[in-house]
Amino acid sequence: MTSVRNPSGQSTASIGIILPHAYRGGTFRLFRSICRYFAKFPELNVVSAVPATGSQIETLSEWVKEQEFNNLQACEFSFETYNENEAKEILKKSGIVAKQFISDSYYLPKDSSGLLMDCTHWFFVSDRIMEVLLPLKPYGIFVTDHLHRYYPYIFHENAYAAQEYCIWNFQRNIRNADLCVASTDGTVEDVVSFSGATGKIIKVPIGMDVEHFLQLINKCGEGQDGCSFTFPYFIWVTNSSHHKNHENALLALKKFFGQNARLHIVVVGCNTDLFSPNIEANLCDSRRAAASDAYISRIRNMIAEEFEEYSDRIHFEGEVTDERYVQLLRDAEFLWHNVIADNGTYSIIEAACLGVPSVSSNYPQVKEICDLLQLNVRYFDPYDVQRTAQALLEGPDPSVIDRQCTIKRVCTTGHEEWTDELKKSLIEIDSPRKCLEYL
Amino acid sequence: MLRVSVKQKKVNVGFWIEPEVKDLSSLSSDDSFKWITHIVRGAVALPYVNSICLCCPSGREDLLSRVVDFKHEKVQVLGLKTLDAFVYTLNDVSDLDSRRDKLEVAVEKAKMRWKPNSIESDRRFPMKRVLERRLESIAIFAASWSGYQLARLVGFFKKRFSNSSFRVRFDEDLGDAKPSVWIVANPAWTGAGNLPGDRYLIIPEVDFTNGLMLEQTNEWIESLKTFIRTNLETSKKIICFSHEVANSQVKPLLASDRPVHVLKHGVDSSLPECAVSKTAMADLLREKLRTHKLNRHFCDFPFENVDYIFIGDCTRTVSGMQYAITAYEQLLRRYRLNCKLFVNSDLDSNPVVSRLLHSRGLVFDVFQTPPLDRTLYASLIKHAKCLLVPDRPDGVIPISYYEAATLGTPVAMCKTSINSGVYGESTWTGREFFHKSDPHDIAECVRYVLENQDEVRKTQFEQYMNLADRNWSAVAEELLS
Repeated sequence: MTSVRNPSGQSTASIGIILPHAYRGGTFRLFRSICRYFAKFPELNVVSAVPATGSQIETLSEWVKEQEFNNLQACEFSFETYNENEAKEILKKSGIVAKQFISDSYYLPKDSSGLLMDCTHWFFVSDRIMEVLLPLKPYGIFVTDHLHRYYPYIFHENAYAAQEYCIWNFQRNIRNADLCVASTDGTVEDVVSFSGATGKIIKVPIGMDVEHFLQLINKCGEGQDGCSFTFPYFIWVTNSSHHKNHENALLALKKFFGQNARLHIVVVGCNTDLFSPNIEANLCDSRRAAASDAYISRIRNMIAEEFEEYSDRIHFEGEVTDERYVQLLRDAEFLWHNVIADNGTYSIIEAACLGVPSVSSNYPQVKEICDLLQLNVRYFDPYDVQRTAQALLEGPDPSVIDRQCTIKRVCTTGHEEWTDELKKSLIEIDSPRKCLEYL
Repeated sequence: MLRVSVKQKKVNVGFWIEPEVKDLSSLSSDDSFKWITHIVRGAVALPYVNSICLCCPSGREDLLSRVVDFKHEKVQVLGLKTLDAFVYTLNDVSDLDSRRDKLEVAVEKAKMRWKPNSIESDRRFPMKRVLERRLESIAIFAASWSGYQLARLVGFFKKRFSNSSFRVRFDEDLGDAKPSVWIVANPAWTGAGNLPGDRYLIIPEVDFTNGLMLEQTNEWIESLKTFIRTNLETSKKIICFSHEVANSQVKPLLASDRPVHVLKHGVDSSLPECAVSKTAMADLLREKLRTHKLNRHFCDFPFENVDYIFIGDCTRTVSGMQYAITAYEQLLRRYRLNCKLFVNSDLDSNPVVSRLLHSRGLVFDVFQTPPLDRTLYASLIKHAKCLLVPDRPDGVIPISYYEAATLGTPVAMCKTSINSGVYGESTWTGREFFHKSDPHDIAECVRYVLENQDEVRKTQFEQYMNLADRNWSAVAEELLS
């Protein structure tokens, strides 16, 4: 294994933090938070790697320059694919034995400068790795969620056969991992009972980028620059993914509108503007392609048919800037979080930081987070349209949110507060396993 | 209680057994096989039972020995070498002709003789299309089916569509141990049709309207009834496990007012001795998965770390399994019960169930066990959060219910039309019973059982204790009396 020295000349481990997909938004922020977390330890060298297929490298490089660390660098990488024979050859050269090769293809992350291959450890931010990793380095995985266990159609509707292949690979990578990290008990349980992780499993606080959000609040200026809506509304933060339970949500919303003539709804999130029956005609090619997606079309048609009489009460904002998001959230009467399953959501926490209460579907991860932060959320069963409508009619829990206390509590869950357990757990794995039963 | 038989004549008892599925796990969990195993254990203890001969089609002796996991000097397992059957094909169906090669291979596998014939010449054949579909199904699935599943169908066709001889020759093999009493534990086992001597026909139920693969047409059901009627008439003794089945299912099929005996189960208190720790069980399972057939997902799965619901008997109906799987999906996804479903069967061998598992994305949460020996079977029940009995014959308390009670595992079981009082069933009406065709009710029932484990376990153990003094020798004694 390559011995690495950091600029201070200290003998050190070198961690490759790898983002397997060109994620944006929350996962990219999480990735940066984790890079920052490891870079805080001066004895480590940290290589943050983003896929060459995406455009994150510029953002990442800029961000790295802004950081106060000199042990952090950025690179682009690609996964190289190998068949069984090639994989055997690579492992043989590394002195690693696998008794049975049970996977179809194998992956190695490679960058042009060989930085990742020089690392002593790898840490993947997300388990969505499409082929089975060749474990040339001890590696850890941050498992964001196991959504596919609860909503198996998330990748492509009616394409489950291909998805089964992907899920099998996700699971195999988790099972072969030396370390799995999750941020909720629910996901930890899934890592054990669904993926069958055999390595060490640790739970870390939810890792919300609190600092970023508090800066946004300050930037938007509390009480100023309102969202410009003159009607009372509640906000539905969602996106066009299937697990966001749109069909049940809309059925419940219709019932709600039938009994409540006051509140409007503002729908916010990536591609949600494409749900609008009044979709713009001059969309760019990629947006037009997204708009013609079967699922999005179905929801759009549903809205056109079912909400004709309420069309002036639904407002589709689509993907908005962070500042606009804060404005819309701050002026809402409450936030509506409606999903079949997820790894919790930051939106309820963000709302609470602005003093806005929430009505949320009940699932273990969100309940865990809300209980931890003492957010008085009203829950409903996302499968039950009637109860969902009832929860909307009743509105959020009437107890007043103490914003300052909430912010204080939320600050304890940020990555800044992570202990060195994650670092220790990864670093203490001093070499790859020399003998694997199945790969 | 064991009755004392004075001057009882020595008898040789024969069991005719047709292992009709390829998978040992399915067989070992089948109530008919369990019943045979227990009865054999009970019968050897009877002084007037001279010998017990377990007969099956040739080539299945090893399988049978493992299913009826019992060794005793009185007991021998015998494979009968000559099994003749005819298969009819539709000569005018070109698609079928093109698949004949596959069918021939499968028939060869079943050690049956392939004798193509023309259905057109048979005037008694009333349902050409039905047969056509059946044979097409056979041709399609021949490659993946075991020979004996096929043999069962072929036997059925033979019985249904022809009266030519279909018989077992055994005289040369049995010698002095030639049975004077034959026990046939399933009325659909066609191989027992011409057994000589007294034949005792066991009928757990008459409900073949939901069998594996077969299309459930009214014609098919009627033809099966005809076969069973013939079987009933030629049997010396007819035995059911409940008055419900005897009165409402069997008696209507009888031409005369013959008696139908009701024989209740006994209990086997030896199962707990077989169970091992959860860690040892996990090791055994992984070992089985390595040696049986490699299961890529579960070959190194840490079974010791997960909770699970166990379906121990699943050779019942396809719909029962479909409802149970749908209920499990609700438990997992809607109620977020972090539990796997372990099923003692090869569900993939059934296209309907397999398709359900894949389409619902449940293949990683529903674990199909490899063939189970007694140790693994007992251990899997013992460490389950709950035993689920999705389906069973009317009026019959399944053997696994008692097995779970002895191992301290609560049971969620389907409701049945029990009104006989044979088992003291008036109390079998709690919330641990569900409507078998209502997945939501099944899910609610399992939730109730899991949330009230101690209470349910206690009630069910009391039920078990009601039968605890009835061992299987007493059952065998009653059967042979």
